[in-house]
Amino acid sequence: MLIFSVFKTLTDQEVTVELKNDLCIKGTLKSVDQFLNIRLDAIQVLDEARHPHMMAVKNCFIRGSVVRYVQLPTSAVDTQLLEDATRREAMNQNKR
Amino acid sequence: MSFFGFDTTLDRDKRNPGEGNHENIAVYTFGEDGYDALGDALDEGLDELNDETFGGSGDIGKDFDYAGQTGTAMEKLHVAAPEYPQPPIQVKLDHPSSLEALWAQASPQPNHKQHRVPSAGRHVEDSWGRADTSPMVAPAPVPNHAHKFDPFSSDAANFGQGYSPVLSPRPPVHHAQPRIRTLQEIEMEQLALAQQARLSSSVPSLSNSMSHLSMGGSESPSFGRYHHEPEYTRSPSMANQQYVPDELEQQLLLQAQQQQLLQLQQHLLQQRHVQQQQQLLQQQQQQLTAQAVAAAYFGGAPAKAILSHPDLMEHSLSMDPEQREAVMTEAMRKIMEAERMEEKRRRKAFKIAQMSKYNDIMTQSDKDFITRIQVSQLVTQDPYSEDFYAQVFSALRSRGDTGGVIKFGSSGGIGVGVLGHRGPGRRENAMQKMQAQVERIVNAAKNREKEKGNSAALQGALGRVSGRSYKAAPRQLLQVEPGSSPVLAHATANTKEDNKAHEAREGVARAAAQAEREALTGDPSAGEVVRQPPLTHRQVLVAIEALYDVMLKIEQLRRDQPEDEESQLFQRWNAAHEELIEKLWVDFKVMVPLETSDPHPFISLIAPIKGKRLLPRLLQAVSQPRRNLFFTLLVACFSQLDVVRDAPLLDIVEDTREKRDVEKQTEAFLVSVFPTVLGLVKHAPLRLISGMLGLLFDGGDLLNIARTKPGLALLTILLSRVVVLKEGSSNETEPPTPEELQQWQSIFEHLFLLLSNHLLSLFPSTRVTTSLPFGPGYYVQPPKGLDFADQPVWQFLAALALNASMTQQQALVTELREKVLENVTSANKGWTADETERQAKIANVNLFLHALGLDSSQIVL
Amino acid sequence: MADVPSQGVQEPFDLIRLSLSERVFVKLRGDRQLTGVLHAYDGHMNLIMSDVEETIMIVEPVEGAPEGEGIVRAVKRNLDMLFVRGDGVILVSPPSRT
Repeated sequence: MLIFSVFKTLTDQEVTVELKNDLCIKGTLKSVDQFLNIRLDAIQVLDEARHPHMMAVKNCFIRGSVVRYVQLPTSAVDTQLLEDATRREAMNQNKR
Repeated sequence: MSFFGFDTTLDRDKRNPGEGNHENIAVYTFGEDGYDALGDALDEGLDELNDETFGGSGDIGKDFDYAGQTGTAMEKLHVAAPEYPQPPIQVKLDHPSSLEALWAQASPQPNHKQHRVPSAGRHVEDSWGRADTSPMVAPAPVPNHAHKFDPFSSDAANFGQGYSPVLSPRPPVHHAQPRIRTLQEIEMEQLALAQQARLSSSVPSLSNSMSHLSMGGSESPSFGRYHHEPEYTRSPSMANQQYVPDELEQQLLLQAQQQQLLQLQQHLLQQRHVQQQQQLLQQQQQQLTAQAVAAAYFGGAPAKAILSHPDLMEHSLSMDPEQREAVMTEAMRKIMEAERMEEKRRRKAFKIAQMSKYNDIMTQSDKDFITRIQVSQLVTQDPYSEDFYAQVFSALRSRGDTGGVIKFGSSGGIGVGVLGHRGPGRRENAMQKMQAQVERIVNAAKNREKEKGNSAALQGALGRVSGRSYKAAPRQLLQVEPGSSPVLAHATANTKEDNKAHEAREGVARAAAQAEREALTGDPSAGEVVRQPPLTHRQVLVAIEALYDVMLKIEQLRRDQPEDEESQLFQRWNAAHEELIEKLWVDFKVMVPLETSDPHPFISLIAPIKGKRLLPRLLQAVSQPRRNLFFTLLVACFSQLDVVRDAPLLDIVEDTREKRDVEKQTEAFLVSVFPTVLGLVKHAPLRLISGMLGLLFDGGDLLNIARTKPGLALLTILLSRVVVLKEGSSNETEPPTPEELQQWQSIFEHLFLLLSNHLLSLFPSTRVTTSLPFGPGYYVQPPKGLDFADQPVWQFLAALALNASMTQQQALVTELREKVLENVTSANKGWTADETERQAKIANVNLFLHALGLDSSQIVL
Repeated sequence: MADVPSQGVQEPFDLIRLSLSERVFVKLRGDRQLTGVLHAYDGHMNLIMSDVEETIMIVEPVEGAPEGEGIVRAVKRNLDMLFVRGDGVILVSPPSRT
């Protein structure tokens, strides 16, 4: 739930999703669920020449499992809080 | 199973062929390629209950009107009886009134009711429509006479009901015909039609006349759509079909396709039918036959039945073998073609229909309700256990209006409470505070100097300086030779004296440091200190994570703090809280003897960034005396800090990963640790400041410390605090006693002596330039942004100048003359293209000059 | 300080925890590797890292060389803040300290 929690705070931020097939989609993160499926608006495909079929697509829903990376806006991530959250989750996990 | 004579078992689990169709196994396997295997997916089992569900008698409703007829109907088909028994339930469907009702439902023009001709047309189209999806189409190459196919194809009807298109039970409807017209009759009609068509070339009238022929009904021009198919209207069997609303709707969907077919046929018709009536008739019949054959297949009538039908036989016999062959080929071709096309459309339509049956099942409020349920499942009882990051993050972002959970007291810039200002912003906060303080005291000093008006003494050292007071009446200014600076002369003259005094001052510093150290260890004769190797990186990491565990527990405890301060619950809570804090303090190893290791374990602990970040949170939790202890330890071990030891890496020009790491560490130090220090110094008495400086000297590496950003910042705040204290402008502490002042004086002189002659090396810009290889180094443009890096140095020098005596100030000016002039010159002569850089240079110099009561504008070049 | 904390590492994830906010080396499927500062991980090995340098190894076939061998070319790129989906992660380790 940690990562889901993080993504929730990133809604309406501009992110770049890199899929496992090397397709890079930049867009505004509209929503995310606990499977880390991602909905993007106002998308723009990097390297459009290689993926002309994506040119007309303006928004999309990405299945979480096909994602390799998501590039996040650095300013929108509180790394110290993130580390704390990670530690908390690790502690809770150990307790169980 | 045997429902309307169809085998309801799937191919793969066929167990009982069922009565009546044993000879027709091939029918089910025909056109396998067209079979989309949906049936496999839709095997729902329980077919044996079909009889129960659909069988029996009684009025089950019109959806199941066909029940109970299956076996008999099939048998009848096989005997190929020309007369079909009329199922009792269906009689009413055959009734014109019911037809009317059906038409009224299906068509926007209710007055179509009587028109069986068009309905026949639809009928054919319907049979086309469902042709390919019927799995039981057999390629029996027998011309049939267009009466045996089942217009209400099971699938077409099922379609609307969301049934599987395959094998869904539906009684055959062809026996609903009250009477079968013979081929002869049809031929006669067609003949008559053709004759009439000769008179009128317009198709509508043709078809109208046909409707007369077949129906005796009235004309209806509104039937245009179905007019153009004279050849179909001949079929007597079609003329008598009843329609199920579902099917009609389905047919509307088929219109487009039908139109194409019709146009083709019409074209054919119009071309020939006037002159070649006979030929036309024959062709029509052939087509009709072909259609009928196809339709018969689709209707599921067994091939044998078709073959054995007398009408069919008759017609077949009436053709010669070649014709028959042609008819059959034509029929097959059409069947196949239509099958393929229909297959596609059908599948699509089926899917749409499947899904559309759910259309608008849920209202928007239903959806909202579901959404709320889902969301509520995501929201747990304790948001901090599952959703910590998002909760705290949003609380921090909207701090002030949420009454944030993470607000911890108001301990001025410490702890998680200021997370919102983290990053560069917060760092600026701390640094800006310091900068502002320096500027404030510099300005205060400048104003004092102005009042005294004694700055003229220093002006010479900077070359030609035009004082503001002289601006009105300029006069020849002093031209001072750099070598013959009075300050330098003074310095050399007093060297001997200084050395003696130096020792004395060192002694003072040492004493001050000793006092602090005693405070730290608690026992001056700490005796046996077990020296140990410094902590390994891994040990440090393990220790820090353990500390974080404690820290997080403490912070969670605070969230759960009981309201009632008197209750026993609170007592227990408080005890637990205290215990954790104690553990945190002990584990942070602040009280470990100084000499234990180098670096000191505590210093090791704040080497990683996460250690530095943890420090303010720890300090915010502990008491004030303990914070002072931390401060003392930090100063005593300042030279052991990673940010001090690694600082030389920052002077490397090229960008390396190591350099970036040190930059990050330095920033983390200034962001996390420094604000705490600033907060502590802000309230420190002069005695403490003296002690700190003494500790710094004791560390030995003062010059190296002063060459680092953190070191310089520390020195700056210490010095500026002293200025504030001496001014007595801070009202929260009592003014320093004379002894303290005297102690401070000697310590400061010691500091000044240590730094003098090395002042230039404090500037990052100078260090970078000198570290460059000789030769090109002097011509290469120094890296950008060095002026900003120089800024803390100028601030420090300003603080130094404020504390300095007159002679010390003169020494300062002499040593820094070059640097000042260099900056002013490059700024004023336009050597610097960048405006912000130019302003930075001027601002830097002014910061220092103001402390001396001067201004860069006074320097005339 | 004699009690050097040795407790704490009981399971593999504890080891990763030590590297929080430290620079780590991550090996990924598809001949990719990352170095960057680790800020978050979870049970799926989903990671959030900053200051990341990604290296992709591309084997370029060389004529005459046996199948599967050739010049290995490394393509690098830098990313500021990166979420890495856990299913691609092969290993996470502290970078070799030199």
